[in-house]
Amino acid sequence: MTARLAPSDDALATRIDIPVSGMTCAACQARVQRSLVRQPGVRDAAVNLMTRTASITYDPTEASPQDLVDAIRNTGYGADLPGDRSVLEEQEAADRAYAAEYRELAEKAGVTLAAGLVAMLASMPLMAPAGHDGMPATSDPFMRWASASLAPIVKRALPWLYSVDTRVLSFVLLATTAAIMMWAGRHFYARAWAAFRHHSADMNTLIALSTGAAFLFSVFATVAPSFFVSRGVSPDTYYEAVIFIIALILVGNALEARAKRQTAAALRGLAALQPKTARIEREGAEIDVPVDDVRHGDVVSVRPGERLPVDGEIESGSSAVDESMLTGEWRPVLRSVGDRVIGGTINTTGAFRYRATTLGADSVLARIVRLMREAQGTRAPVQRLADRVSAVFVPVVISLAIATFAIWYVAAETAPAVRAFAAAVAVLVIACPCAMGLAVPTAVMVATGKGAELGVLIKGGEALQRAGSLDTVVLDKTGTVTEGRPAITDVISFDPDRADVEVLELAAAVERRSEHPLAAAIVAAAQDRGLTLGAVDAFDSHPGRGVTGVVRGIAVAAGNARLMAEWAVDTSAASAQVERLATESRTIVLVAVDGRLAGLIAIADPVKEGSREAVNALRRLGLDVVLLTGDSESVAMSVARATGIDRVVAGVLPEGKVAEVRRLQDSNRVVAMVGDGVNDAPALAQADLGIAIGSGTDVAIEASDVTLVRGDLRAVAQAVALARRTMRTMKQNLFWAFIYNVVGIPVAAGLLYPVTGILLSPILASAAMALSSVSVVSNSLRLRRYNPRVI
Amino acid sequence: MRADEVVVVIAAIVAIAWVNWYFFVAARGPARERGKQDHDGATRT
Repeated sequence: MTARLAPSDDALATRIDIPVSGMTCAACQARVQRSLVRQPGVRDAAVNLMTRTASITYDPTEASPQDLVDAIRNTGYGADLPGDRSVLEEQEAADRAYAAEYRELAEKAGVTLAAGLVAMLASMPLMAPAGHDGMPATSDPFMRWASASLAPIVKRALPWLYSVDTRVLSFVLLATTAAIMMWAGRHFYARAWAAFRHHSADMNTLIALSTGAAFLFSVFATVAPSFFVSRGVSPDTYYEAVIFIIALILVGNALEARAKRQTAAALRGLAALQPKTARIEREGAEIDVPVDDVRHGDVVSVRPGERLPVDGEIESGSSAVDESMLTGEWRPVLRSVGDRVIGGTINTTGAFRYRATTLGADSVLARIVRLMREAQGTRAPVQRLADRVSAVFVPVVISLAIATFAIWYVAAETAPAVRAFAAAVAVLVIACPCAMGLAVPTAVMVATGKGAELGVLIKGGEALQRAGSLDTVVLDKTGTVTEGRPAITDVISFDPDRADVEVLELAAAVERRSEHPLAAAIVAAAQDRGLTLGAVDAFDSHPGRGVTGVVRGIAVAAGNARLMAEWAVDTSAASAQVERLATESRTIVLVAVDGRLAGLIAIADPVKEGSREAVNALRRLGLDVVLLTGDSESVAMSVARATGIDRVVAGVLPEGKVAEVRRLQDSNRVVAMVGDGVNDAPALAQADLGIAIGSGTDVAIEASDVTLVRGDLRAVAQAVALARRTMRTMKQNLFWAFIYNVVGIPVAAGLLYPVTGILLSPILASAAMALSSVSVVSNSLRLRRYNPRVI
Repeated sequence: MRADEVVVVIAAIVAIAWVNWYFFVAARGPARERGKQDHDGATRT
């Protein structure tokens, strides 16, 4: 019987992030991923090269975390069970690991490079151009050029070198090369072997094969030179080539490690915002405690110029708080009693005391860092192309190298074995697919970091790619285009037995339970008038229509005309007022008491500063802008006029918003929905790209693909511009990585030789390979300087 | 074509065939075994 894992079974699935060490390229990553997917109990595995983590969804009844760690280790890479650490600690640990990796690689690269130079000098006497000791001239063109041009200089500078027995020199070089291979290059061979055992091949396979073959050939030439001489071929050794190949790959890896550290700079900056200690009040005295020891409800005191240690709510005092590092808002924001403040922001002038609310992993800072790490861990769909290519690439390259050897062996007129061998090794070396593996993840990483600087949190490569291909932006009205902090302008009673104030009080009592911005305005107005709001029973929220409930035994319904119609309330008495107020862009909340219309409340919501600019900027980017709202058409039209939007869809329920987004998608539009993340959630999910507007303190980061931390619509245009530029960078990177191989491999194989006489020595091939990785990483890093001037 | 050249060409053809068999055909082995297991137990998606 076949049991299929239906989505409902996913309740069993557990997710774990396991740090993986030692991966250097897309092929390494693909290999770890393949081995994880093959594990029993694993539903899904996504391995990320940049964050070095494997995110695995598995069934805990079939596999344990230790099984997964063992599976990764079996592929030749390092893995440990994740510790019980906070996101910030994890980020710090990841940074330390990056730094340590860079130091180790740089040290190995430096020593190996120096050894390579010494080996090159030492091998000069071995490759005399005209041949000596009766040996034929060297056959490798690069080595011949090097010895012809450098040998006289070396001979003059180091005459003693030429007096040393060449056999002794050969054996010294052999020993040095073996030592370098074992010390600096060991991981290439270990990983290549582990890959081979699993029927897979990656970049390490190419390095191991090329350097291993060159080394064995050289050992043979050192131990049995007479075998070569008797056939009229110079017993060339490639010791310095082996050392240089390892050195240059290590230099490339070290530069990549440094670049990866730089691309994570935005994350490091965020993690560094968290102060280490907090000053809290305990038993009447102020004491400094480590920030981890702050408990929920502790009162924290902050002095001018200090950084806030945790999130909380102000109890006394007020101050302007600089939240720019989290929200991108450059002006300090005034925070006073009752306001929420965020850990990591800076108190500027005043002093205040606040009560700690969210701590540790739930704090705004930790959530943003976690989101960023996850975002940088996800993969853009364009990456799949690189993965697919690199999986078949290595075996194909090995086949090409073998074919190159055979063709050169047959075609070369002089020294066929040596020429065939050099060309085959050059093909293996130049084909290392590191650049391809780095093309997409480095761009995603830099772009998400750049986005965070601009106050735009982008959930990974897929969101970036979709943001880059948008053509329509649907804007929710309330809270997105408008302030979302509506204020009451009129309260009118139609019931002679009830004063305006009572209408407001009853409406506020039921609205108090609603999260809608209009409800907040009604409650605020009631509180401003000092009204005491009664308890509400049988509360019910009717999305897109209003709320109902029972206050002091009175049935109250507050909402729009549709709610009144559903409750069979006659609203004809209000029609004249409704019409008048609607022309003034007011939103009307009708209030019914015990099934009869009691009054209406008119609310105005001012258009946000910058909304018009944002709409213009979106238009300039070639995007169609649509205003979508549950409000009446007259209100929507007046907002549309104020902002310059010409397409308006008004009077829609949350389900209607989904339908409208779907309708646009059906007409082949790539749609972004921008909303405040509460009643727009279904539409945000339906859209190709959901953009949530969150205030700094209440970020709806889990709900959307993109979150605008600052709540400023202008950031939508910036996000789209950034995404488009990032897509361009990814495509450039992939193009260069592919073109490098497409051009490099035939040249290394000697295709140009019959026409131009150009051949690539293995040493030059390794330099070209390192250069391609560095160029791809540098191209991604250019995004850091990109400034989306769309406004 | 000399005898050694013939040997090199034949060896190269054999080597290329083996490389492709090892990395493409034999590599599917574990996947096939997994497929069999799937019929006994759960199908992974």
